[in-house]
Amino acid sequence: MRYVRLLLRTFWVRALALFEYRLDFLLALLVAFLEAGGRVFALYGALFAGLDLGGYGDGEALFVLASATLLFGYHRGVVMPNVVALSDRVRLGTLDFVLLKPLDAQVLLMFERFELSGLADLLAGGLIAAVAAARTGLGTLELLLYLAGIFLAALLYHLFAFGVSLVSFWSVYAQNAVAFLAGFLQVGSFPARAYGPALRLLFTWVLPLYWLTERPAELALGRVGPAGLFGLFLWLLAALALSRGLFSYALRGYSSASS
Amino acid sequence: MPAVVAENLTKVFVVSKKAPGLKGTLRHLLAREYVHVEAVRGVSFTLHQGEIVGFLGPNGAGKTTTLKMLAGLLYPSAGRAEVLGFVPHERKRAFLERIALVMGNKTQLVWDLAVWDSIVLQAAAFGLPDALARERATRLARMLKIEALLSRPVRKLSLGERMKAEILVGLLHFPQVLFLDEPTLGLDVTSQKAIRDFVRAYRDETGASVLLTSHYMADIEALAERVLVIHEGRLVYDGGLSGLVTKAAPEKALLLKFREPVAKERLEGLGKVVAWTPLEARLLVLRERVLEAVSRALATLPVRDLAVEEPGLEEVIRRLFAGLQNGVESPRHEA
Amino acid sequence: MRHWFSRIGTYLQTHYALQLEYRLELFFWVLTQIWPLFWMALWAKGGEPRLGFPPEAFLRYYFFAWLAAQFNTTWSAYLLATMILRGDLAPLLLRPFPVLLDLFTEHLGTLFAQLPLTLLVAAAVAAVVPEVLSAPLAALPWFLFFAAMAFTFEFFLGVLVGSLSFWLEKSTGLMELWHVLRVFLGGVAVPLLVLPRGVFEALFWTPFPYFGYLPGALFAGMPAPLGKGALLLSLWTLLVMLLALWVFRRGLRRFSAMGA
Repeated sequence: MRYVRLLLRTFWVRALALFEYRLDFLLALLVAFLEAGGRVFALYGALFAGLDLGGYGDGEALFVLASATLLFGYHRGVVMPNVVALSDRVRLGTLDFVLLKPLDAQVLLMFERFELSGLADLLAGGLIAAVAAARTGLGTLELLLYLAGIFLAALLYHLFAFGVSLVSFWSVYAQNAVAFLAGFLQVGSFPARAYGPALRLLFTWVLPLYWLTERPAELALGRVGPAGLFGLFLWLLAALALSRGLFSYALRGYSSASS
Repeated sequence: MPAVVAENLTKVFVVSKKAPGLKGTLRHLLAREYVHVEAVRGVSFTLHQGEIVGFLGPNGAGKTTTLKMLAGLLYPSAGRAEVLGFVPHERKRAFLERIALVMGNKTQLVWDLAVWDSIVLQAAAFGLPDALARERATRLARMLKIEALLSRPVRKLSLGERMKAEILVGLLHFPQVLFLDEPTLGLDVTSQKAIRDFVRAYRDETGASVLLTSHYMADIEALAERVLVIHEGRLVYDGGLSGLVTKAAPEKALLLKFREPVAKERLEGLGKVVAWTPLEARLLVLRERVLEAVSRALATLPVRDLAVEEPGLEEVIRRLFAGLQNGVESPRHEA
Repeated sequence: MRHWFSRIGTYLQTHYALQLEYRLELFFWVLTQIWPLFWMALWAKGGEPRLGFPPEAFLRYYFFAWLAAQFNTTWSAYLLATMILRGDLAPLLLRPFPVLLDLFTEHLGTLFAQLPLTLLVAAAVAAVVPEVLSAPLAALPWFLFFAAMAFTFEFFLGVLVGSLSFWLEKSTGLMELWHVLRVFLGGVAVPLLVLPRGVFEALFWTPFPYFGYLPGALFAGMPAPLGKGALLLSLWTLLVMLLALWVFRRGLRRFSAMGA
């Protein structure tokens, strides 16, 4: 597999370059845990205040929170570095080199970079999920379904972020546009059903927040069976088609920073 | 089948205009004005297998834009491009595996790591087995004389060495069509020559076609059997170098030194006098009349020394573009 | 003096023009901050009123805490760190215009460019939940005071952290730490009332609650120690300012000693 080989090599080469920033990683770890802690604080604060989270108790809601935190890790570790790289490439004109490679440019642009600090959020998310699992009792099948759900959700989020990051072709920086998207992961720390009927509809059919964080939790809780992955999969296909269309449209207008 | 075909190739960029200062920014925010910049206007030519063709033109003439359209980076606004039978902007895998675009002002090398790491990445991208990549890299390194540099970090390389490494990595997949954009930009004379020698050797070994742009006439003179001259997005000349010289500079310079003072009037029958002192003169004489002028000068004037000068390519190009600027009919002809 | 005013005026205009140029980016920047407004929807649905406040109080709390937080997002740490590490600082030092003043006008320019966008979002929120506007107007001067103070505090904290780049390769990570603490301990994300009494009161000795909780509580009718808060935040700001100036000076000396 050419892509796998290229990815492994890119990762290795980048890991060498990142190694110098160990202290930075410790700081990132601290930030990630504080942020995850802040979200847990918000959840228990809401429960303490007697808010209705769509019928979810703390164990169930923690699963949703874990999904959001894991996706945050993916955002920080994979999505954001590539978004930054893309906007740099457009600005400096080095996108040319990616387009000249005999491989799918979208795949290269989505996965060429990674940042170790994303691991910190993944770790925090994993811990929260473990606590949630201990509180609700989780079978092997549910665990596997949860992981599959998170995997699909991460890809779905990534495709959305990639589509948004194509703003780079017209505006100098796209980072903020994608950071805006990440803000919705924060919103998704609470189950979509907790937001009331109107927002719940929005999060199910327009901004797929429900699919990103609550659906994996439902898979873990056994509220939907393996068939529950199907809807996620459909969203993924739609996002894939949309992002490819946008990408080829963006390339049409690409003017390749000259000299 | 020709390696490269460009037919009426055109690229129009849409650029938004902005006046300086706060007022300009506000207006820019509310109602943007757009300007259409025609970078390339209807350029047509073909490139055959194994040919090295030089692409000449002043800055902003459209050389790079044309090259990038042929490499599939830019969508043509109109016209057609075909490279090795492929439509470039579709960027099919088989197409990308057969071409290369090396740019003198951009680098794809990984700055903090050794050249070998970049080679390894490129090999993975092009699906070359490790052994083959190593063998080719060694071979190219030998041709470029940079065998000793491959394990050095890129940031420790000099500009010339970096460019050679850039070419090595860029050609690892042995492309059949090679686009070189200013490959010798900013390099010293030795490095320029090394790169020229390499390009010729590479062509001779692989039979690849090469289209190169350069600011240095020496590159073009040494490498190109044929030149394309582009000016303000239009192709104004396509043919051999000698033809370009004849067309753009139809005159040669005749330098005369005299044993005794000669009046200016006595020279006027020979050609156009551009400089004169009683003991020395410089005249411009039409090419076909040089012989006649020389023999007449020798016969009728007290000539002590005589020289005929061919204008350098640099000079030819300068005159060509000066002529185009003044709206003089372009000396276009097909080779 | 007049001469200085006109110079500062020109700087402000240029920075404002520059920020408008990045309007799309700024707009998205404003949007990245709106997620607490969704959490507001969570709290405004009501439930058992265990904290003793009606849902409208939380609407106003979240709205004004968010609005206050819009005034203290500054980039001084990032800008300064980049200038130092890339060496762009050297030409700025040659100009007969103080670097920090340049940076400050730049931030004011950003703020003024951002404000209309913020108001646009605020108007949109007010259109959906008009309850947020039924707030006591008398609180406005206090709100503005805390906003201005918070902006100054954050600016100098940024200078302090950015100046560390004279010694460290990467210092801006500290800023992220600060931002996380500010969002959660500052009360932008969660009304701090849910904290145990002792923690809640201890928090008022730190600068955090003045960036979100206090401006929000001001309009929501929640406990807001205004006089004490104003004094403490002013002291904190002064402290950070002096520290930042001192570190910046030390750094400059080091910068010029190393040949810029």
